[in-house]
Amino acid sequence: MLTSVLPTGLLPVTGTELFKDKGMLMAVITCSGILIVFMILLLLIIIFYAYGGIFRTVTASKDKKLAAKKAAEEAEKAKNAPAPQAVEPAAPADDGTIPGEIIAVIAAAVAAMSDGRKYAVKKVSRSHNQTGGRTRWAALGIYENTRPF
Amino acid sequence: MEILNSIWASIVSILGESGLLGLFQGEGWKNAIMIGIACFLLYLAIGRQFEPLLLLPIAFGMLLVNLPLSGVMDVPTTELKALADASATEIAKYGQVIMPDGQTYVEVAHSGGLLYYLYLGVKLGIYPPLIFLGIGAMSDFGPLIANPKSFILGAAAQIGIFFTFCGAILLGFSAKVAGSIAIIGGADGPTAIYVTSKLAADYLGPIAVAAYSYMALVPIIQPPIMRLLTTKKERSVVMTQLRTVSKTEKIMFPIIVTIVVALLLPSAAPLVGMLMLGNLMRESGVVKRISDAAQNELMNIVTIFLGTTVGATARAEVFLTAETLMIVGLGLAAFCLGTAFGVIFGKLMYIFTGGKVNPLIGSAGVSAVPMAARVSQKVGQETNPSNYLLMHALGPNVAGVIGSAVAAGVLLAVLGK
Repeated sequence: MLTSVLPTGLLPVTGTELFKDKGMLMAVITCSGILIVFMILLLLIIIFYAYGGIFRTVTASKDKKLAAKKAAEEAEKAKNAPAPQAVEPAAPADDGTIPGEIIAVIAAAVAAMSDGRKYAVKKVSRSHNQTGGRTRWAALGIYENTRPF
Repeated sequence: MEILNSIWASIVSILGESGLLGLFQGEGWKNAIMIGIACFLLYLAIGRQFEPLLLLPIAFGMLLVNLPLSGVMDVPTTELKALADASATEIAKYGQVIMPDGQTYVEVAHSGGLLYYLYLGVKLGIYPPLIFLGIGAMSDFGPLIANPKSFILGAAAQIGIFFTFCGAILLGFSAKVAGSIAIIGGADGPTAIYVTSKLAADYLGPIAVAAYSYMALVPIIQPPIMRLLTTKKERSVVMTQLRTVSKTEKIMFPIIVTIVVALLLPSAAPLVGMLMLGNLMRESGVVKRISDAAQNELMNIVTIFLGTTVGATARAEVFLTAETLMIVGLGLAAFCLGTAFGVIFGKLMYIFTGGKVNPLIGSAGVSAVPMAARVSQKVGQETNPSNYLLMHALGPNVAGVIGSAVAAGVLLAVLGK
């Protein structure tokens, strides 16, 4: 390995002979060592960037197809569904910017913590007070995931 | 009276053959010092909880081997006994041999000590790759796959290894011993043991003790270097959240790394290969039982064998030398240099990305998973309490494990001939 990276004729032929010269030994091992470690890890960086890119493209195209299929199915459903009957609308719990699923999850969480008592979610509003560039939920998620460390 | 004399004679005879007397004969005082060091290490492991999983068996192995006449590391031997001197049992057990001088002998075999046989796992380079198997099964390479740039920091932290190699050569160590000392800078115990067992097995005791001591001292050694090399502004950088890595990507990762590394540097294949095998078992999800066994039972058993037998190589005549002090000093230098180069490359990444990378994650490139990543997180939070660098630091941290295995492969390829 060592002799293969050195130009023939310029340096001694075998590693053992080379080791007699301390300066040369230090220079060769330090330079070739750092070079090889960086070369291999840089190669891995290139591979994994390319690899990540391919995966992201494939996933994005799959997601796009799935979304299109879902939209088509929903359109078909809406077309075949009977006309909706008028129902008394419930009082809105938010200003309309929070999806219904999120409100349902919050209501379920409140119900789970309520010890059998009945609660009603009257208002859900967005908090713009964020923690270090993250929402409180994201910060809590990171905290939960990193606590074992 | 005669009975009393007999009792006294037998007591004197037992004491004469005891290890206690051995402490006061010849260089027995050295063993006494080693017993003291072993007890101190046991205190650090139990009382201060410094890497107890490894330091405890290492210290106990050191204690056992330095108790005079314990024979735990005795090499198996054979003794030629003249037929007339051999007992009937020995003749029946070992048979008779006729030597070229025409005499008939009995070749009596004496077994080696228990730890001698267990030590074969270190000597033959079996335990460190098995430890790597367990580490692979416990590691999540997701942060590294999400941010492959982390590989640079894992490589940068290995620079200290090669500069320390020069220092060791200048201090008069042979090339093989210098390579073994330098690998301490990788902050990876199994890698240090693997390289040393191949290049300079006689130095295994001091090198392993130094490597594990520095790994335990990561939270003390690294923060001052990190603070010294970074500004408050750099330390307070909040990094953007990493992308989600799919299961397929995680499964492909160990396969690709193994192919690339083993093809380019075959001498790193045992360490990297086992690390990646463990990780593939974890990520594939189809061999959960084996993955659990690698993470728990296998890892624990090998840790006991590795720790105890490595500790048992620290015999007084090898350990209590000026060279050990030099090894400890060089190991510290290697570790500090590794940390410093990791942070410096982190700073370069901070500059080139326009301030998007926090340089503190660079120090995690010195392996020592997950302790080094935890230190990056802790130092980052000192400046900005709402900053979570841990997942970002785990990328360079696991890259450091691969980097130190590659550096070990380079040293073995160049010096192992």
